[in-house]
Amino acid sequence: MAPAVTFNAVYKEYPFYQHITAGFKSFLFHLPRSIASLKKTKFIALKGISFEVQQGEVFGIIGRNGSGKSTILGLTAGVMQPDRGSVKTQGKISSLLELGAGFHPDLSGIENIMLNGILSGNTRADMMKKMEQIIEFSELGDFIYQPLRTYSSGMHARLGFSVAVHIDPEILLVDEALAVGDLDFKGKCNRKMKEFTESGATIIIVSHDMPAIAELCNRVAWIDNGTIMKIGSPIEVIKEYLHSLGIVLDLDEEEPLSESEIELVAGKYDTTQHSGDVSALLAEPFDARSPVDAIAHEMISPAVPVPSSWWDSPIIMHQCETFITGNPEISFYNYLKKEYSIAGLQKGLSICNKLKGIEHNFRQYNTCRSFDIIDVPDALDHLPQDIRELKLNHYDILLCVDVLGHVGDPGAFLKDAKAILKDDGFIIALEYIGPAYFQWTEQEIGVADMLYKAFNNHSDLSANSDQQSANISVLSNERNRATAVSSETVIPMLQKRFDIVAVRYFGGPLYDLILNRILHRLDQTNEKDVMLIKTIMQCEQILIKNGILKNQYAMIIGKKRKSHGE
Amino acid sequence: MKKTSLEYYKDLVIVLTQKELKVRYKRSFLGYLWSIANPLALALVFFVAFKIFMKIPIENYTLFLIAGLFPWQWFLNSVNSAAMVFIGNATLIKKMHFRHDVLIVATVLNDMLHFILSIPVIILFLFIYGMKPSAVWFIGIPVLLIIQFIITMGFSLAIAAINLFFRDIERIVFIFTSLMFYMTPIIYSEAMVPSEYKTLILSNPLSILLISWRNLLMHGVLDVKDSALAFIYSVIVFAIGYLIYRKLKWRFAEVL
Repeated sequence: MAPAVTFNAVYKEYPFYQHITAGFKSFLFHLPRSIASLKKTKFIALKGISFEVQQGEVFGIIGRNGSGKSTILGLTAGVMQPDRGSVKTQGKISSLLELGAGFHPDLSGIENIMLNGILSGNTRADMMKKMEQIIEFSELGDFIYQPLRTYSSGMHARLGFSVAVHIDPEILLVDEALAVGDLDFKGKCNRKMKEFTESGATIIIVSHDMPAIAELCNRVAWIDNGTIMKIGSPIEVIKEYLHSLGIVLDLDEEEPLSESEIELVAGKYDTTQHSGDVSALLAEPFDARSPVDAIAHEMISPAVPVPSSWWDSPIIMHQCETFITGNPEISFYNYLKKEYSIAGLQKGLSICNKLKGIEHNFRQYNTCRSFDIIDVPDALDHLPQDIRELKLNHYDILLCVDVLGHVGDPGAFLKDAKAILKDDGFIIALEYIGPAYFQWTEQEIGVADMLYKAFNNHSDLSANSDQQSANISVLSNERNRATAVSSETVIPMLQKRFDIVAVRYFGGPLYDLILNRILHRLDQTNEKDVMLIKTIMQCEQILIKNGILKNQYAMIIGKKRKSHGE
Repeated sequence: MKKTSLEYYKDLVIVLTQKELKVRYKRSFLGYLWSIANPLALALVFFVAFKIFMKIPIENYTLFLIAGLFPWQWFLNSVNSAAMVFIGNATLIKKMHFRHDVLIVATVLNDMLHFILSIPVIILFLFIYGMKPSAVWFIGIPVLLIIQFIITMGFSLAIAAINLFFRDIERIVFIFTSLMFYMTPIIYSEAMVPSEYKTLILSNPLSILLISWRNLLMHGVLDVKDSALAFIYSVIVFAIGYLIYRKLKWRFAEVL
């Protein structure tokens, strides 16, 4: 049997037509440039891709926006032609490239069914026969006689889907159509699609709805930048795709990842920090990072070992936990359980900046059974669209560590964060909440200087003094750059969408300094050093309480606010 | 395959034409009357200007005007709306695979229907001037309808396709049709044209067609030589228009 769809080395580019559509006048006025730009400025949508879709297959296409997915559907549907290569199709195609494409707002439902059916290649007699079925499936009732402009978008979608599936296509093309309609209808659509494939029809779906793709498809292709990154079984491809976005999912269909797998994942991330290739790939979806930022990174990174966290240092961790829980005997997780009944949750999402493996502890202490992880390169603007659409009302808990101050659009980020939480879901944020634009005060720099000297007492002080202050100013510069968004707004911003349950101080500028500059010089098994850290951190707390030190970090627990207020 | 069968194309044209018809007057009260009102108003203006003020030496001038203005109106409406046909149906073109020229066919057919529906008005004026419709109409009207359909399709296809790439065509069409109106013997008769300009007027592909329409509608005469010439013109225009359309059609989904 011939494949239903065959792409053979398909190459497709779009010239940028705006030079022409901007009008004759501007085209003529800039004639030489217009012609030159016509030749040069084109967007290569597909770079010679080849694949086959067998008859009866449900084939999914995933990828970022602008990766070339819709071009593939357009070529399959025949509304476009490839510039090079060939596209072959076998059988009648019904395209749901857009639900209700070919609907006219002034025509009634019935008239639109006819119009749509005819445009999809059916005769009037065919459509008359199917009319009743279509109307029944659409569940539109008397609305079918009303002009389409009176329809809601859900009704629109129902009519569109209903027509598309009833005209007996041999190949059905679906573009993002599954995202609409209520749950009942969605289920109905999915059943209908299954029925379809059982009867031997071929379906090609483009969607961001990963669960639907995973459920419906036999095979999935991941397209990026006009090339096929991977074709294979849905779970495998989806995982890899999400991974490329910096999202690690343990998909519901599978056994939860074992402890060792989590470690493996965390380990992978650690390697990415060192090997350029992989980290470039990881950072790619968020490549908004400016060259200046990149340089700043390079300047700092050779001097400093991989930044560690309080999670990595038992002493600091214990001290921070004590600050949060207020009692050295009670662990952070028991505190969450005891004070806020946060325990035994099912699904969590962890969004971390530079911190990995924090989820591990949450799992160990049975605070939350499993976590999806988004590892955030520095320039995260908002929550990746894929995960937002994928996981609406899905999570019990959202964990943000050092993220909110770095997000490009915190308002949008928190809105999305709220959307993916279940109704009684929690957000736990470990964030810098000090004054806007982390600025080291004179006192803080003085104290830091003193500490730095104290810890460097075996090296030659006078020879190093220039470098020290240089180091400290680099440190403060780094903070200034990193918190581009006013951190002062973290709490008010959270308050807009969450009911703040608790705000607990756990560290300040000295803690920051210890973590980033000093920790690696200390011997954490040495009791003297341990005492030193504890003393510094306790002093720091007192200094902060008295308002001498301003910059501070805190844990914030928020509960998702019921949305009817909005 | 179903898609290529004649029955399918027939249905496609019918449904699209129905759609055009329904959509055009869906929200207006007087509906099709508007398609007559416009040429009638024009006829009134020309009658006052040329017959009463300038005393043009043509008998039954109102009838004379109407017999030319009604077919002209069909041409004008089609060509003007053709510019917007593909743009207005952007979602269809981008998302569905069907022959896009059918959209133009539907538009031109739609205007043709309006023209056919306005023939009773011409008959009414014939009676007012004491004349009668002729039996030649039964052959003449279909023949001229076909010729005008072909020539209008030619212009419309070219304009519709080019307008996607150069939106200025819309304006150019407006000027072009205004000029063409006065270059075509509609408000004057071909006999009034000085002989040195006659070739110029007759080289306008619409001139012979409109002269034929008037001869048929006013005098019940269908000149075979004129019809043949008009037919040749229309085929040439159609061929050029279709070639332009075919050259550009694969880029439609990209530009829209």
